[in-house]
Amino acid sequence: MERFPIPGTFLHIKPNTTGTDPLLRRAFSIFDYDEATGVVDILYKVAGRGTEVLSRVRPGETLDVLGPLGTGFDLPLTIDHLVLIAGGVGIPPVYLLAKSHLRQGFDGKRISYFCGLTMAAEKPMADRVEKLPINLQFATDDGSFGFKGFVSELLRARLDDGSLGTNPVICACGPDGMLKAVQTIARAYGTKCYLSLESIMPCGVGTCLGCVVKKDGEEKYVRVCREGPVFEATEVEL
Amino acid sequence: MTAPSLNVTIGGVEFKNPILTASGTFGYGEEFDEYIDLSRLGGIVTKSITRHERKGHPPPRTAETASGMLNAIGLANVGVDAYVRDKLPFLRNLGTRIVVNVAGFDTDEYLYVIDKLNGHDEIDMIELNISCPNVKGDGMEFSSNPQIAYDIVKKVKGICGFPLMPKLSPNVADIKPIAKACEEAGADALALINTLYGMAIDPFNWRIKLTNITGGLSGPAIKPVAIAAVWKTASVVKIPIVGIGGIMDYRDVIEFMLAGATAVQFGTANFVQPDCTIRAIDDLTDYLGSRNIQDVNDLIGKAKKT
Repeated sequence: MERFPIPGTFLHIKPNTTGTDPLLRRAFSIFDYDEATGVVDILYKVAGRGTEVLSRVRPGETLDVLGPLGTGFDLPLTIDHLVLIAGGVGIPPVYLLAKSHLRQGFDGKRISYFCGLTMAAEKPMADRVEKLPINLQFATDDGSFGFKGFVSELLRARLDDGSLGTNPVICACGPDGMLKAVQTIARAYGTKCYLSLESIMPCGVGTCLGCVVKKDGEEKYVRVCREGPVFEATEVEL
Repeated sequence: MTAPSLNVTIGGVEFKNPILTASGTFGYGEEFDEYIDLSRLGGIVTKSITRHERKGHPPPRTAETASGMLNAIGLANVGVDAYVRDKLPFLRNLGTRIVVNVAGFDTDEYLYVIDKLNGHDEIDMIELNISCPNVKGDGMEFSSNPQIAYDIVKKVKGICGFPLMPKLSPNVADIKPIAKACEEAGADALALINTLYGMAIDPFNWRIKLTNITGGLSGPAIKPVAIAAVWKTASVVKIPIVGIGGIMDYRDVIEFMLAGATAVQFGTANFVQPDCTIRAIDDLTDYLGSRNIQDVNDLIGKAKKT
């Protein structure tokens, strides 16, 4: 890719180079971007047929990639404290957001990254996050390292102890349960919060209307692929 | 050698080539403007419109299956007034034919929507989605019974200011009497097929994949069903047939035309490859050229028995 991508945008990738099974593309948040080479990284876990086929693609093979697509994070550098919450393979968009802000001169001391993992074996996923000069804290379900419990509880603890400044902005990506918990906490604390959502996206370009999520308080749906995947937490009903 | 002619005529409307986009897979056209040159298309069939805005079904609305996908979007659309006000202006002067797909849950709704569209000369044709359940009748699809299909097509034709093309459902024992009934009622062309009923369940968490339980199956998985439907229909009607169902590339276009279709619509393929239609137009042109076929119409119904 030629330019540093907007964090939170995604690539729509055909897992197989030929054939019709799997048929559709799969959406992956952009994880990382190397400005020297233009190389883009994604992070994924084998979760179904598409990712299973993708995992068998070997170096040197050509993939059909559409993107970057969607509406990503749009956060000014003037914010007080950037609080990033990632659950499992939700690491990429908020990692890229941290990197993007650092690159623009945002002070790493004003970035907190709370990374939730189920177990120690998942830790390598966060290798790149550990290299950023930011405040990184882990939460694990089994307590094998870092905070024992959900990453949302870690967020609540830090909001309570005042270590996140006076006016933090939360950005989260992860499983639905985690996003819901973060949404609830942000609402309770009156904290501005953005969520990067995942959805089954047949087309990725706003046409099929398959990936929609319900608008909060309205009998309306919005497209995750177009109006999202990043939404203000108050906009959507999870 | 001159370039082969790709022109086809359907219901008195001339299309620059036989490649159209299927309703519900191409939005209102504008969504694809940044990906392809819309003026190269034979035509655009816009997403089903109804009397009022419809929000659609709760998600999940789609599920991928072997070489296909299920959808239960629920006819989400802006409603005919907003369509005319907000969507039609973009479609004007695109340099391609505009076919408007109209859906309804009772006869009055079809007539209401058509009446609102009459007089808008950017529209070239109406595709009548008669695969909706008839809420005032027995709840069966309009296209599931020859008499019901005849009645609705006859009534709509009576007031419709455009050529009329009913879109038929494959979820019937025999499509031929339905097709004939539509022709007798005055249809100018037929589009077939709509999606097949389908359902999928996750074997690990036992959950039905669609909130709506069942959905419409589309994609390459349904192509043989569609080819057979076109072939059978072509044997009983004189009006042109527009083939739909799992078309991914120019080879599928040729297959449908050999079965008896005058033109085709690309549906699910638009989700996979936004420029699939443009590639198919180029590849079809090359195919005809390489075989010295001067006119694409020479393919229609030419399938040979083995």
